Amino acid sequence: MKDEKLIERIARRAALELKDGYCINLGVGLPVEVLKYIPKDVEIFLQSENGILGMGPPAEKGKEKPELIDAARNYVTIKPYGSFFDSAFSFGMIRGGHLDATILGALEVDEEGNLANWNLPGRIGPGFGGGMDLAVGTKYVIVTTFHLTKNGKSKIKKKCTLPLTAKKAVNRIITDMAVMDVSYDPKEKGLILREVAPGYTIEDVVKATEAKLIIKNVEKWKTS
Amino acid sequence: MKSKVKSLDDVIKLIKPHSKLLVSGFYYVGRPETILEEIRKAGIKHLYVVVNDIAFPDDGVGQLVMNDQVDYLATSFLGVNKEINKKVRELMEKKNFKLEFVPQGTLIEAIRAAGFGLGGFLTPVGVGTVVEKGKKRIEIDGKEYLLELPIKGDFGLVKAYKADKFGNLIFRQSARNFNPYVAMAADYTIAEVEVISDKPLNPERIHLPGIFVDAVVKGKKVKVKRK
Repeated sequence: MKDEKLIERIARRAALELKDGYCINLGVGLPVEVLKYIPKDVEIFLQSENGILGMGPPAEKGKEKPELIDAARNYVTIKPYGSFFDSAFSFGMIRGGHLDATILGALEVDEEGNLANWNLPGRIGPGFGGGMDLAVGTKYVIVTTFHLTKNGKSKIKKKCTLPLTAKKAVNRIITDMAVMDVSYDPKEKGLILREVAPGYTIEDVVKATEAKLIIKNVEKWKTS
Repeated sequence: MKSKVKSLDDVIKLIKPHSKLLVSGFYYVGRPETILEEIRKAGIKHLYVVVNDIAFPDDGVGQLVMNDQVDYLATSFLGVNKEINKKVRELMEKKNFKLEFVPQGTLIEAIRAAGFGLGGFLTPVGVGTVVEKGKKRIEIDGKEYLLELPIKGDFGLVKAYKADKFGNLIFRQSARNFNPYVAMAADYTIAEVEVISDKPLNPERIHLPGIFVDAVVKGKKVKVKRK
């Protein structure tokens, strides 16, 4: 399958995690794709860490406001019920656990819920931005990622090898192959396999996953 | 009351080599572009700069890094721009430059702590990561935190939409970002604004009280930047 199709599959599945009235923050890249697939009857309030809650769609060309941008530097709009605030407020919102969920991208994620997404080998940055705060502070942390790297290696690791963004922070991992939950039960550590994507078997997922999988009551891939 | 409105020249003259600058802004929004440009033109060196992000070589603090004016940089985000990354790598190899990545929420809170007269704060952010290096880990009710210290500045450089002569400030949309706390955490705060009102601003509309502002200068009008 082509990358765009896989991204769509991940984004569609992740969109089903969001409930009406949720206040959420989306990481750049794959997580932002989720916006395209949010059901019509679900209204969410997007937080942007530079100081917006209730961010609307991108601004039309020619109608951009020079000081209304999102955290990825795109010109955006503000929705009814939206608000502006400063960065201390914004990170109080994030670190204080006031957001319902965040969806983040990953370079690696592991069976203990550790996440690595800020630095690649040989690079200086790009830096943390607000990623560490989001991963640590948000009540429900969803990671969306391809299951495998371009070279066919598992991104779902036993232990992250890249510099960490946060320890024991991830709740749910949604990939093009599976939905998995991090078990924080000390008696049963690992990733609980919840759903397997169409076209794959449980064995396929096991083969593509370096982390320990806990397999029982695996359900059908949710589509609505 | 003496007006705080000053000329750009007058305030730039105050900034000496080895000054510690707290710079507000997220990308160019809420960032004092006119003041930063003047600092580049004045060529003031050995600056210690705290700023949320760099991202580009031709504006903001990026231009000061490119121009070899910065010795120490604390930031949450350097971005992926090749030119700025190459420059930072060169400077780091020459060992006359130090870069410190700070999580964004920790950066703003450290600035806030300084402005609020606190000796530091405990945050769970950074535990078990590179951020932890050299910091004290403290456990409270079974949860681990890092002790983070306040970040103060000699100069606070802020950007608002509108000011009055007392230095009361009003921001637009997402431009508030680091501004209120940068203004509070520095010994001397310079506010670059687009509009200076002859009359006092409406107290109901003021985002930052003038007590935190030492000088008001007129800057350029902020425009949309086409990518």
